[in-house]
Amino acid sequence: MTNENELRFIIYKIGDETYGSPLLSVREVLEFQAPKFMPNMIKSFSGVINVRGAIVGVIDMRLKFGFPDTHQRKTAMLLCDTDRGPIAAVVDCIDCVLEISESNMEKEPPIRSKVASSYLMGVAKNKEQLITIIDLQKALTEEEFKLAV
Amino acid sequence: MELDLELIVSFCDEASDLLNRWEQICLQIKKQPNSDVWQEMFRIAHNIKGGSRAVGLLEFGDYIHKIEDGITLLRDGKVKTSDAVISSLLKAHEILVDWITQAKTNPAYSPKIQTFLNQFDDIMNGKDSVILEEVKEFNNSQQPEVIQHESDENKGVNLSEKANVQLATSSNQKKNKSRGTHKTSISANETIRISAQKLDLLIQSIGELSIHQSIAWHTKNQTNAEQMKTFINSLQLGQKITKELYEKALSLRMQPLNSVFQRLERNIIDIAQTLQKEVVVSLDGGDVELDKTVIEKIIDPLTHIVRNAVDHGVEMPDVRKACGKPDQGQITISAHQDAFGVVLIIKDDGKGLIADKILKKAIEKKIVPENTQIPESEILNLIFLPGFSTADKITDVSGRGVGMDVVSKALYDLHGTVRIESVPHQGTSFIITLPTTVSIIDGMIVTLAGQNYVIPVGAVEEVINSNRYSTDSTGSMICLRDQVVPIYDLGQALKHNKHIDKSERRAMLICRTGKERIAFQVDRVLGQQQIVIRPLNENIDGVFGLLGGTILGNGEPGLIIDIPSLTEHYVGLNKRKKEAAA
Amino acid sequence: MLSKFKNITFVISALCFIILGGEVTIVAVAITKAQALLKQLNAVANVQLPSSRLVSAADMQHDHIRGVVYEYFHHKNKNNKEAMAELVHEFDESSKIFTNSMDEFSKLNLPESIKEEAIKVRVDVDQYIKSGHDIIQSGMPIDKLAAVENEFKSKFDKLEESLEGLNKKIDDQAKLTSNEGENIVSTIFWLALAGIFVAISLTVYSILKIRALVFEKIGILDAAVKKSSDIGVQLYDSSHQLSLSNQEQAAAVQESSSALSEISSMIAQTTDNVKLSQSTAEQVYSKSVEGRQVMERMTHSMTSIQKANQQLQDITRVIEEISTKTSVINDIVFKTQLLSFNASIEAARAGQHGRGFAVVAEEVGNLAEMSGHAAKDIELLLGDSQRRVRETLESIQARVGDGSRVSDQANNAFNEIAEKIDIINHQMKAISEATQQQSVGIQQANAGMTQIDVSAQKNNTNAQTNLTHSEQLKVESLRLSQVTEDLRQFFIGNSTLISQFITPKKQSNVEVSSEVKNDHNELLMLAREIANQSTSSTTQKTQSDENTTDYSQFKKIG
Repeated sequence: MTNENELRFIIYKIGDETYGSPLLSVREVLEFQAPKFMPNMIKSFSGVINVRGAIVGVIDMRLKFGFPDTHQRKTAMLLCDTDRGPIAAVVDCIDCVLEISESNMEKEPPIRSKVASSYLMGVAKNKEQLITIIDLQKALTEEEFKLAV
Repeated sequence: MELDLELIVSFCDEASDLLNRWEQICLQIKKQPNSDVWQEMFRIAHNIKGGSRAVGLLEFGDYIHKIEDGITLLRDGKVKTSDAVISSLLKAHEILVDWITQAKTNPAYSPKIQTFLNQFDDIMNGKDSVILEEVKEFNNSQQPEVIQHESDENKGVNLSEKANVQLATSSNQKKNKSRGTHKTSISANETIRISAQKLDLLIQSIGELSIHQSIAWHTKNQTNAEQMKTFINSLQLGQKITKELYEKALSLRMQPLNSVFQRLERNIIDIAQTLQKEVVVSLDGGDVELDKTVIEKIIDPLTHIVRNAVDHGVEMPDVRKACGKPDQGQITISAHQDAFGVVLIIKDDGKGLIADKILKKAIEKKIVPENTQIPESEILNLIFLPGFSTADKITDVSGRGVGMDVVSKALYDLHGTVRIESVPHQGTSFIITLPTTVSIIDGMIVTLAGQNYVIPVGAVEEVINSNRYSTDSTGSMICLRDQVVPIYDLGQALKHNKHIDKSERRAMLICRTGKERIAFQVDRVLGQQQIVIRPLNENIDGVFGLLGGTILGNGEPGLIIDIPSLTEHYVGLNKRKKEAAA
Repeated sequence: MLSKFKNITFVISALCFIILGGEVTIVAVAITKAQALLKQLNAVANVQLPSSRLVSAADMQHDHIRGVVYEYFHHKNKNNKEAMAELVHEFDESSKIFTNSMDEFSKLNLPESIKEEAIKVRVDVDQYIKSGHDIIQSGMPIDKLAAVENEFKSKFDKLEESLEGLNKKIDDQAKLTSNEGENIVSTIFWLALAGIFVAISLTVYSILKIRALVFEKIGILDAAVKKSSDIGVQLYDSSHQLSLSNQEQAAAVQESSSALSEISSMIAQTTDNVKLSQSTAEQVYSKSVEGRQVMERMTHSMTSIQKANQQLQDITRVIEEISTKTSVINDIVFKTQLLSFNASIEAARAGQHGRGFAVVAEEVGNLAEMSGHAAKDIELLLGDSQRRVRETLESIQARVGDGSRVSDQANNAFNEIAEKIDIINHQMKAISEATQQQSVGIQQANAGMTQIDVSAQKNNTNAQTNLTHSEQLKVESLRLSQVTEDLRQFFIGNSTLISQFITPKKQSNVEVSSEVKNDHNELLMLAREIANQSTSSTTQKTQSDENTTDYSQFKKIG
């Protein structure tokens, strides 16, 4: 029996696009917390937050994917564990958890993306909606946060 | 017999303690031959034998048994104590330690000990010169295996454990990367022996805390003034007890330096033997305590220093005689506690460091540009730079030039310092300072560009109100008691690019490095409180100007500013400006 | 004292008693003094004389003893024992006499100072005698006697002095006594003199005073009498006139009476009309009051509508609160959603074991979604309700506003009506009262008329009586004159000399006129009564004239 969990994805929106990531790559979902500025970091790094006593860096996915910054009320953050420590990713809103079978997912989509191919996992369709599946961990760690001094 | 891993592990832990004592005794006997200790030795061996058999390590038990026989002979005086005997006992000890470490994960481990056993028998029967080389060989051949096993062992650590443990394991990996892991290095034990008394105190404090908690809980429903007082009282006491608890828990991790010293002594003796030098080790202050993590981390640097001392410092006996020194080299390892932490001094009476030689070597290796004038005190510190080694040849033991910088970095990571004092032909001293607690410091909360940051109080010399002192017209210098101190805005230093109105007078932190001072301007100083330093995970670690984080009272994360490195950076900047202008 | 002259008897008796008293006092004093004088004489006899005698005797002895002692010396020198013995015997005798005299002296009733002096003398005497005795009796040799002799001499001198002193004192005492006697006599003399003088003066004064007063009175009486007779004449004339006028009055009264009765009947008519108007006004008033009550009820219902409004507003608030709670629910929904995501994650991590939990997580998510939808629906509903409530409120407000305005207007109108009615009512009342008063006035006038008639009659009778009386008055006055003349003669007589001395006191005009007035008044009171009657009848006439004019006016109005 296949491990069903592998096919479970958490679906969220960034900008006007819908994205999904494997459920396992996310440690937990957090309510939005205003990050505290940290100097000498790249622009998409908004700052740090307190997650149950630990200090965790925050990446604003909108800025990362080049969407313009809105002042809309941000709702949620996805906390991912990377091999360099935990990182929180700010998204516009979280939709739901979906089971996507392999058949529904296209691994090599011909479409462009703001999304680099290094972490693009594929594109899935759910009820007429296109979902871009990405590897969140890779996406978060692909670039160095710290600015060179 | 079914092997129960748990039992084996607990046996191994007990045994390693006993083996510690074994090693101690061996070293003691070397200095002061004394027949009484054989009985204790025998007891130790006997204990271990019994235990091993009980948990099913039969081979182990047999091995011990043979050693035990030897010890009996020694005890009864049938065999005379000699260097060879002691060396063989130490060797036996090594095997045992290794066996135990392996047995914890692999109960079926079975080393090749036959050769040794034969030698042991020979010695016990009177033939004694064979051991030394064998030992060396044995050492070399065993090494890779050991390393392999050790790294295997580390993998077994559960990935899902929290950050602190990760930290430990990662530092372990670092350790393995650095050269020359002597088998007797203390690996990251999953267990730790603590004093029962400390534990009792801890339990007591916890009990008190829970009492106060329940008192506070009971008052939660009533809102009259009386109950509020009780509530606040309980909270305050609870706070106090929590702080005590934290300190006590930390102190559980404190271990006396004795074990370190023992290791170092062992190392010295082994190396001395290998190099055929004669060294006498004296130890002092072994009961000074340090945090376990710190101890684990300083073992390697200290070992390296000690090695150097024997290898490069202490001369061959004949050279010594020619110089008029006693045949035996004297190495002193001492520790004492002062207000800030622990001071460790490793002193030898060898040939010392020659500044010119070092300087030449540094220029040669292009570490330092030609014709630079460096004051003598700084020359000695050059040896801490990477790629440095004045050894003419690369020995097994040292000389690959990767030693001292690692030492320096390791100590720096522990927020310690190292200093060298040396007199040519007379000796060298390495003076190391280590802070006692790594994680709690006194912090000053300041506001920079609208955000709150933490400044370690110890790093600041003084805080002044800039109104009191005269500045120049641009507001970039301040006259502080006959010294002109440059002003830098701390917010800007951290790349907060808000426009700062320099003419506005604000609070300044005066920080110094060496003789130079810098005044860092902040928006406001809010207050002071004790901070628990939380290390930053790799993603966010290593940012220039920050040395860690903490959680402030309002739940916000608070970043701790690395004042020393900022100060140094700006002092350097200043100097370069001056030189450019000159 | 002048007032007391009303009663001559009292005065005279008093005078006599005073004089008598004075004389008696003088006599008493004289007797006392005489007694004192007698005492003095006694003293002289019993004390002064004997004392002088005794002192001289003592003095004699004093000298005698000295002589004896010197003789003794002489004889002693001669050593004449016989003579000495004799002398001793003499000495003894003399001393005895001396001391006896002194003793007797001290027994006398002498003043204290003298007695004291006597005692002192007595001491000296004794000493003197003693020293003398010493000399004589001792039988001392002659040479020793010289000293003693000196002593004796000194004693002698001393005694001499003392005796002289005593003598002097006695002389003084005698002088004193004689002085006292003289005093007494003179006292008596002067007292007698004073008494006589006082008596005489008092008597003279009283006599003069009495005469003067009497003269005065007589004068007054005389004047009064003259006046009375004049008055009598006047009275006669006036009474006559009075009688004539009375008759005229009676005729006028008749006319007035008839006029008044006409007025009376007119007034009665007016009163009836007024009453009718009043009842009509009252009816209107009660109607307006009813109208006002209706208005009030309407206002009340307006107010209760307002209250209902309030309740609607409360509802609005409740809706708002619900809205707040809904946002809380929304928050919870969101958090629950997150929770369900986290639960899914944990379930995924637990792998095999978490499958059941994953289902739970999904369900929780679904529930959260449903709650979310429900919350949204509630919000919409609330929004809708709020809007509706607001609309209702507004329309109610408008309606209520209109209603209020209308009711206010009606209220005002009614109030005005009520006021006007009130005014009319008051005016009616005023008219009513006025007519009543008029009625009363008429009645009074009528009564007055009758009275006038009656008094007129009386007046006539009185006038007649007056005439008779005035005649009598005249006769009496003449008689009175005569009597006063007699009195004058009696008291003063024809003697012009005395009249010169006794000048009647100048009597003030006020006094005279007041006296005259008093009698005059008594006579006039009668006349006044008559006059009053005529004046009252005159005023009544005037009043009736007024009433007549009023009535004619009223007639014009009515």
